Amino acid sequence: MITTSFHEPMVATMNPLVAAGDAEKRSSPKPWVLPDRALTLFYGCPEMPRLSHYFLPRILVDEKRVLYLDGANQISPLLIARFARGRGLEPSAFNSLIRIARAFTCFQLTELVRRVPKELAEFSADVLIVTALPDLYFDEDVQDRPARASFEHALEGLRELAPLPISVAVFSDATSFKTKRHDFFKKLRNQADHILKVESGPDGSLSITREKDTPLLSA
Amino acid sequence: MTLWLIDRNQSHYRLTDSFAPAFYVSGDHERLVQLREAAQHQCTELRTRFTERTDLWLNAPRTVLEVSVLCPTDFMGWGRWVHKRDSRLQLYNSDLMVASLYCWEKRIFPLAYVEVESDDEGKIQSIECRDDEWALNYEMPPLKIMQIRLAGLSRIDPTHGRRAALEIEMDGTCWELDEAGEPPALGFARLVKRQDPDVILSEWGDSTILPLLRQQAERLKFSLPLNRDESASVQQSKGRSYTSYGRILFKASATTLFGRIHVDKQNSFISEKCDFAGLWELARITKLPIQYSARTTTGTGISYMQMELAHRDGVLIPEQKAEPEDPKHPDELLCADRGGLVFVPKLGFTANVAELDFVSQFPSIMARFNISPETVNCPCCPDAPRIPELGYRICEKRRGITSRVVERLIVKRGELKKLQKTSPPDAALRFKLQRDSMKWLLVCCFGYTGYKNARFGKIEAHEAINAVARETLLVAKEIAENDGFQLIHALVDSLYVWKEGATREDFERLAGEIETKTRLPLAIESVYRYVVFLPSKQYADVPVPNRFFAVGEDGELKVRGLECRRHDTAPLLKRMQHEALAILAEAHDFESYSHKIEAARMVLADYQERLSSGDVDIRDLIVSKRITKEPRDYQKAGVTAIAAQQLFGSGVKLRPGQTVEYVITDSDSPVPNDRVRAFALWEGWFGYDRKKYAAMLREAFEPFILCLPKTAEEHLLTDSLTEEELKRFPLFAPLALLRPFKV
Ligand SMILES: [Zn+2]
Repeated sequence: MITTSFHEPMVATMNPLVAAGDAEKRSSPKPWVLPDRALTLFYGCPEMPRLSHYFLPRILVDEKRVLYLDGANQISPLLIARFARGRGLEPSAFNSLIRIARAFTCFQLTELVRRVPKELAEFSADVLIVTALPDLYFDEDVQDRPARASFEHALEGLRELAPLPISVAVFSDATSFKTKRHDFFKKLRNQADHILKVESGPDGSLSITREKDTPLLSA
Repeated sequence: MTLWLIDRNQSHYRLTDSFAPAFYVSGDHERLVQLREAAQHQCTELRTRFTERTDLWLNAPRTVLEVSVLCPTDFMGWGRWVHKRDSRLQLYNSDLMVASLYCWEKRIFPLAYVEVESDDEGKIQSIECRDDEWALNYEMPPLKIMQIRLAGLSRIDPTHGRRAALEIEMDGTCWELDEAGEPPALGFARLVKRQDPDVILSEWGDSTILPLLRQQAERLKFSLPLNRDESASVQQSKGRSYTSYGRILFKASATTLFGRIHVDKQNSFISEKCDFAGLWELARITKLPIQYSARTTTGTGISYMQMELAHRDGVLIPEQKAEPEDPKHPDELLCADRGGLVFVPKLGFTANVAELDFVSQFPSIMARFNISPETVNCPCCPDAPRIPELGYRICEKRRGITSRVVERLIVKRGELKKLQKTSPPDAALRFKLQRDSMKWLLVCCFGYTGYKNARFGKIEAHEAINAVARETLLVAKEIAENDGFQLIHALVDSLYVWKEGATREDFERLAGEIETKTRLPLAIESVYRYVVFLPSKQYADVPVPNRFFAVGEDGELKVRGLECRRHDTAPLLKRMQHEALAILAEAHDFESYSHKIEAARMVLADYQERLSSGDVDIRDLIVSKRITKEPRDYQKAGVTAIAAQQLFGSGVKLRPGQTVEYVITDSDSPVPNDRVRAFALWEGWFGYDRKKYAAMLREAFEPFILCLPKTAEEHLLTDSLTEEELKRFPLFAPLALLRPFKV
């Protein structure tokens, strides 16, 4: 089931925040724009998977295509429709530009990541969004060894996307988990080209701090 | 493998059999060759060969390395060894329960009647099944059953501090062991040795009785003969909290035996619901070891039935559920993700309503339309007919594994139903329990198609079944309305219809018509004299499904969503509702209902009176709630949190998902700790909150008067308990003291 109730207040609080922002902390001039051809990691607050929604309007308005692998099971088609209407567009205008697949287990998320090149042949996306990586691999129902192996395969899958003309954004809430598998997140950090830490203040404001910035070879 | 057999004279035999279970490995050929070499060099315990098996999703052969393990107890260990060596290889069939694999290979099942030939050392030479797991009426082994429990109230978790004498019962003889005599473990050991039961049926044996007895035996340095098989040690697993469908649940610890069966009624959903007859049936058809079968979810049963078919077909059984969702556009996702269809009920009293139910709707859809995870959007049938709304294709070339499993279950249930109708009471009850246990398998079948840990799960199958169900309900509604019926309510697989002056024959004709058009079995669940649909508890004018009561032609009640149906309700409230409902069930129409409600009010008044006079057994006031966090993690002082913290404070280890029982003592007290008392810590001098319980009684009565004109309900809402009365009566009812049981 998809619930939309949570997203309603988000729309109201998020938009002004982006404009107002925390100028001091925020070193990225365009926090809602994803760098091209790079792996960007967003982490820091429990709302990360939902925050991923707010990158969509800019991308979709530019008629870029998005492949969204939702390990957090947080995607809201209704919110996407609202974004379209908010810009005076029919929801179908956005709907045709985005494809979503949800993963309920870490093994499924790995499989989705590994299938990206095949999916791109059918649907040539410009942006890949992945949520709950590595959060989904912290599942205690999954033993350490298979979780680890599966995670490594997912990372490898992401590495294999590097030569492709696609920008990848991973939204993770890993830091709020109590787990012995902390090294998963470290590995993901090492692999990321850009890391942005998102924190929410007591008044609901967001601050974004750039923690890692790898210049691209092509740049 | 060790096999325990019982003959018709109740003699038992311990036999052994050689068995080399196999798993399969796929991956790059080079890597497989390396693995094969490593396996050959490792030791002599493995046999390997290249062979072909079928990939479930592609329905195509795949070359795999078969690894047979000569020592079955090391089976899973060798799977781990492969992974450790090379994490890129994929394993199949590697984490299956060896006991079930043995059953599949030898074509036997737990509790089957078999013919065995063995040598002088008890080694099996041949084993032949002389039984059929799909038989309806079968001979059961003559099991000797010993029951053990603690004296007193069984629903209170003894780990919360309750101590009582140990009661043991066998063949109608009872023994009671307490601290007054010799240590209970000694007496218990002697009884087990003398009586030599095949089954120990306990209440709280898993978490409390057996662990305590074992500890005592250990302290006194003697061996407790729990196992018949002295070469094996008793297995004890730890309890743990887990989340399922958004709810935090607790899986209790388990104590399982070798050569003897231990079933804990308090830790076995299926034996609680369906008694031994249901448990035996489940073990026979799922081929899961009995002790495991008793403690696991029915989803695991379904999963093993699917895997058995896969194994027979030579289909590879993946280790993990890795088959993800196919990417979809947001609007497609929104459409696919819809659940069952609901038409909200018409609030209030309606006389002469028929409930028509699609029989086992989801399983029937799976069986009828061949919907199974691997048949949805198969790669082999691009032109197959499509599922309404979603456009998914269903394979036309192969029968789905899930469809085959549910089909057999549906057929067997149907045959048992026929048998139940024509059998004497004893046998009829047994057939009913067998049917019920299969109902639980079928119920979870659908959920399992989408369940995250289902081996053969695929979300699209789940969505397809839902879509067909929605379409079916719409068609049924249309047919009913065309025939002049009014739809009072519909929910997923059932319809409540009404027509002025309609007879049972009219309803039957309608059911027949719907059945023909939808090609799914539909039955009249009941023709009700009346139904009262109730609004939501929060909003008096908002109808909600599943909150109603109804009275059948024969006076039988159907109640949903009332306090008396909930596990956490205090017994006092439950009883009041049951008594009031029994009176209301005598009504035939609105007029007689309006008369009967006066008699029902007397019931409420009587309960109020007993409450205010302190004439209530404290055990009737126990509220049970599941905790969702560790006691220390609660931020707010809600009643459940307070009770949990009281238990925690007295040294009880509580885990999320476990239940706490408490009595409300003074709900308005400024001191949180005075508001409730955990029942395990109850002492006679505590008083219960009479005002609060009186209010709860009134609230529990409210559903019965909601359908009446306002005037009738007014006097009921006045508080019948005055301050004067509160002063006059004693504060508590003495609690019958329980015998101590301290090990
Ligand atoms: Zn096909």
